Parts: sequence; structure tokens; C-alpha cells
Amino acid sequence: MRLEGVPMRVDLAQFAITLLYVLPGAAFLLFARVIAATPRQLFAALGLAYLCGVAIVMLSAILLLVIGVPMSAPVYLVIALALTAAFLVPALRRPETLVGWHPPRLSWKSFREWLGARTPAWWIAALTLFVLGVMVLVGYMSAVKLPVVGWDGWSIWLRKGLVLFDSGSLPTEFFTSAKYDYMHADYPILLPLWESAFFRFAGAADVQALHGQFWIMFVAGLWAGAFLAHRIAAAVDGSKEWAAALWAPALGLLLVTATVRVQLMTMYADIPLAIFAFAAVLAFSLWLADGRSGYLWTGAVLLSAVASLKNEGLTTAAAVLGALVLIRFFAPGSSSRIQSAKPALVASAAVVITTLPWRIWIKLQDISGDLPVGQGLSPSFLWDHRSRVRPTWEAIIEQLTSPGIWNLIPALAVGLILFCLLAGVGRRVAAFYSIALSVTLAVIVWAYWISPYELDWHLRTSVDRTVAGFVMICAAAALNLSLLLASAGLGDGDKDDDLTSAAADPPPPHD
Amino acid sequence: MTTLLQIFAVVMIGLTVGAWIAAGLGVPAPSTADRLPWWRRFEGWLKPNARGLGIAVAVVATFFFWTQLWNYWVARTGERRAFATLPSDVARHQDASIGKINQPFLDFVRRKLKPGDTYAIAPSSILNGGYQHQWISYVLTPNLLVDPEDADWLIVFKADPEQVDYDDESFPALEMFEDKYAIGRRADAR
Repeated sequence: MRLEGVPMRVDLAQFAITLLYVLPGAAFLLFARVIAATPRQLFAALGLAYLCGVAIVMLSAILLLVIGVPMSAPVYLVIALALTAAFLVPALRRPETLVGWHPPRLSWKSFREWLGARTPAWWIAALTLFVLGVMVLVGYMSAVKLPVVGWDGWSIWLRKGLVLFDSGSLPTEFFTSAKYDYMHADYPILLPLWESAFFRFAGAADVQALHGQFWIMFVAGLWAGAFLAHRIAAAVDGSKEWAAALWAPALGLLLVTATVRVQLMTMYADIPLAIFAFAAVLAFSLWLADGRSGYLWTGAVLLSAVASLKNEGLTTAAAVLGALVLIRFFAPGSSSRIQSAKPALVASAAVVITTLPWRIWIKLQDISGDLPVGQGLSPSFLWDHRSRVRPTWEAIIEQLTSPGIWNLIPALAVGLILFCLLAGVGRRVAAFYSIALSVTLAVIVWAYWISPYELDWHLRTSVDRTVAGFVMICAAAALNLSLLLASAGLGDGDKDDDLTSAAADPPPPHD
Repeated sequence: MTTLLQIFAVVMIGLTVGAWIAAGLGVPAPSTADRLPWWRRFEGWLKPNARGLGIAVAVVATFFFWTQLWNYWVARTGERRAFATLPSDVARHQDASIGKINQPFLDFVRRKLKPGDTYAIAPSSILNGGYQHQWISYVLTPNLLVDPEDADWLIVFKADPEQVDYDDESFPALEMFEDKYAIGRRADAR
């Protein structure tokens, strides 16, 4: 593999490209009023900024590739800086953006006083987070040494990543060749493009170090989860420290869940898809709860990445957006149902638009997928293939309920959703998760139902991965609803009033 | 160490629950169910226990996290040790062993192919979308796999060249790597 781009040590490339995503992502969050320009909020939102940055930089790069602009390290740099400026300039023009920016006054005495005022829950969370941090570092150090294993990892994703790294453009002869039929040329290219961007900054196709990028993305997902969970938690007696004692071990649980790590390190698209979906649904639930439009747009950006990671991501995004529109449409207290659902419809349209460049390109190149989607909507076709439903359902349920696979996260989520719906705590958010999860699950079953592949083989080789997005949405639901339940009646609770007035509120404080 | 962390998990659970109760969380809310219609009464019966369920999730998460931590540590440090000295090129081609692929031959082919060169594989029966087909074309990425008439190189893989049907005028000289593995350059190649 030839060297090109800016040659630098691979370790430095890991850091440089992470910064390349964090900068525009943070600028976007400032622009969307999700965070204020304070060191604390910027630090707390680093993970979310990374995910948003990956989404907006990569979606912009896909658009440029499709219109024929070749990609190189300097072009990625220009994209990132242009996006940063585009979001930062209008954000800084708003007087409230810099309100929270005070130079920190550090003294040993004030630090001791601050430390003395911390609650027991804070200390528990601090210990958990310290251990979590050590484990994250250990995870990174082992990740960057791993070999490439996993059939689809090299045959579908890395293959495209290497080709995009080599050519810089979209090599039509590669994507349209019948000799590469097996590599799913129709799959969206966010992941291979993201891989090739790393190779450019590393100066070579270092596939071992690439595992480090996957790990960074996963950790960013956990970090984003912590930020959003803390926003979800209600302040009790003016403090949210209690919540950290829940979200810290909950996110730690995701870290130590072996299935997540194993799948992530095969470099398939399923866990990246699941990470973005996890953060997206948490952002949407915040929007449903307090109406700040910044959360809606953050969710939409993250969901655009979901839809551009894999074809299954497109259906997951459709399920989540459908649930969002439905919940807003039937939300009580709205003067007009359409008016209430309008922001969700606009966000849905935005997600659809971001997927168009790639869809138009593959249509122009006459590239099609292997799933007979047209037939799959025909009642007679579905009836003829009905024998595939039961084994599919059984395989999925076994995946979701075996304790050793996903640590009972789906069962926990289902229990919490049912409880919230019945008890009337966080009912709107619980309804959102229940619809999103039901549709996501139905679409997974449908995909196996209409698949042209022999069912046993198809299930055996893929069912553990195809449920990853579903499981991570379950994880978001469990985290979200348990925070609502724990503080039921103590904090602000679930608000079912008209939320449109909060749309442009400044970012909330983040203690 | 696993047992120690299990004990530690229980301690952490106790501390978490204690901290939450001290903060006013987890205590059941007063029930108002008596004064409501039946469906509201059911809701009113559940609602006061909601905080307890929140605590239950924290207990489960704390238990699972701390008790699985040691396995995680052992697995990660083990991986690090196992692959610490793995050369980058081997790391890229680790899965060759799964398909029992002659990786040294493919490494030999990679050294022959220049950027932009195309190649074809013989016999054509290999091009069935199976493991060998996918693996060979992955290893030789970014060089493009094409039909023999468009190829700069012909790769004979796991077959006797004498028995393989190919255009020997276009590929007059095959270089044998070992028995059943050969490569030939097109006579009028660029």
C-alpha cells in the first residue's frame, strides 16, 4: 500500500483524526444550543461531539465524492475546518454562547471545599469512572495490536476502505464489477470512507491501528451516553450527582459486555451503527421530554450516520423517526397534531436528504442490493415464505434473552418500558422506545423472511450482529427510563405539556 | 480475583443504594390509589414503587459491571500479549488460515502487481463468491479483478496450469511459485 497524505506516526494520527471530528462536532453542538461554551460542558460533550463530527464530516465527504471531488488528507482538513467555522460563527454571534466562559479560579482551598461538598453518590461514580477509564485505556492498548478477523470485516468493509484510500475517488469499475458481487456494493460507504480517512492521516493502511479508531468510536458512544443520561436525570435538591451512580456502572456494563467488544473488533458496521443509534435515541428522548430543538437536530445528525452506515441502518433510522413522528403527532396538549409533529417531520426529511447522494450514485451506476425489497412487500411472496418467520423469531429471541450474550439488556429494557407505560412515569418516552424497538425488531424479522439466502446459514452467520442496533436502543431505553423512574416525583419528572416554547432555549446547565 | 470482585460488587451495591436513599431517592412515594378509578388505581399502585425499580437497575448494572471486570481485564491483557509482536502484514492476512489459503503465494503475487495492474484468476471455478474468491481479491486489493481478456496478469490458483483452460497466446509464460500455483504476465502488457 503506497504512502500518501501527511506522513506521521500512527499514534499521532489517532489523535489528529479524532480532533478532526471533535472540532466540527463541538461547533455543531454549540450552534444547536445543546451545550454552552464553558470548559465543563465542552469536556462533558466530547463523546457526543466526536459522533456528530464523524457524521457531518463523513456525510459531507460522501457528497463530495459523489460529485467527483477526490478525497485526500488536506481535503478532509478543509471540510472539518469549514464545517467548524460554519457552525461556530453564528453560534458566537449569539450573546448567550459565551456567557458561561469564565477563566477558572483554581486554589487548593476552593478545591478542598468543592470536594467536601460532594455526595456519596458522586464518590461512587468517581470510583467507577476511574476504573472505567483504566479499562478504556487497556482496551485501546490491546485494540491497536489486533489482527483483522471476521469475514465481512475484510471482505465488505475493509476492502472498500482500502480501495477508497488508494483511489481517493469512487472507483466505478470496482463498485460495478460482477466479480465483486459478494461485497454488497450497494451498502452505504460511511464506514469504509471513515476507515480510509484514518489511513490517509496515518500515511499507510495500518489495519491494526484501525482497530483503535473503532475503539475510540465506541468510547465516544459511552461518553455521549454519559452526557445525555446526565441531561435526562432530574435534579434532586439541586444536584444530579445521584444519577452518575447509575449511568456510570450502566455504561461500564456495556464496556465489559464481551459480545460488544468482540463484534466491534471484527470491524463490521453493526456496532458502529448501534453506537450512533444509541446516542440518537437518547437525544430524541430528551427532545420529547423538554422540547429543545437542539436535541432533535443532534439526534437527526446521528441518525443520518446510522442510515449511511448500512442498509439495515436505513430501516433502523426509519423506525426511530416513525416513532418520533407518531409520538409527537399524538402528544397531548398540542393545539394542532400536524404542527406538533412538524419538527420531527422536518428532521426526518433532513435524514432522508443526507442519504440521497449515495442512493442516487448507486442508482446511476445500476447497482442494486441482494434483498428483494419489492417482492418483500407482496402478500403472496410473504405467504409463500411464511415458514421462515418462526425459526427467525426463535433465533432472535434466543440471542436477546441468553444471559451470556447481551447481559440481559433487552429483557431489562422491555420490563422498564412496560412498567413506565403502566405506571405513567415517562410514558411519552417509554412509548417512543416501545414503537421504535417494535418496528426495528419487525424489520429484522422481515429481512430474514424475504432474504434469498438459505435460512439456517443466514441466521447462523448474522443474527448475532443484526440485533446489535436493537440491543443498543434497548440499552438507551433502560438507561433513560431507569433514570426517570429513580427520581419519579422528586425532580422535574415527565412533562406532557406543550413543549414548543422551549425549542430555542439556551443550553441547560450541566453540573 | 473474580470472587474478590464479586464481594466488591456487593459492597458497591450497598454503597449505591445507601447513597441514593440518603439523597431521598428510592423511598416509595405515598400512594394515592384509594381515591382513583380502577385503572388509575393500578397506575397509582405502581407509581410509588417506581423509584425502587430505578434502584434495582442500578443494582443490576453495578453487579454486572464489577463482576465482569476481571474477565475483561484478563481478556484484554491476554490479547495485548498475544499480538504484541504480530507484524502488520501478518495482521492483515490473519484469516488466511481459516480458508487454508496459500498466503505465501498471494504475497508473492502482491509483490509482482504494480499499482493499477489488473489480474484474472484461473480456473474460473474459483470465482464462485466463496471464501477463496473473496480472500484472493481482498489480499490483492486495490488491484482490480477482471476477465482474462482484460487482465494484465493471470493467476493460476490451486490448479495444474496444464489442465487449466486459458489463452496461452496472451499469457505465454507462466512463472511457477510451487506446484499448482503460478502467475503469468500478458504478452502485450502495458
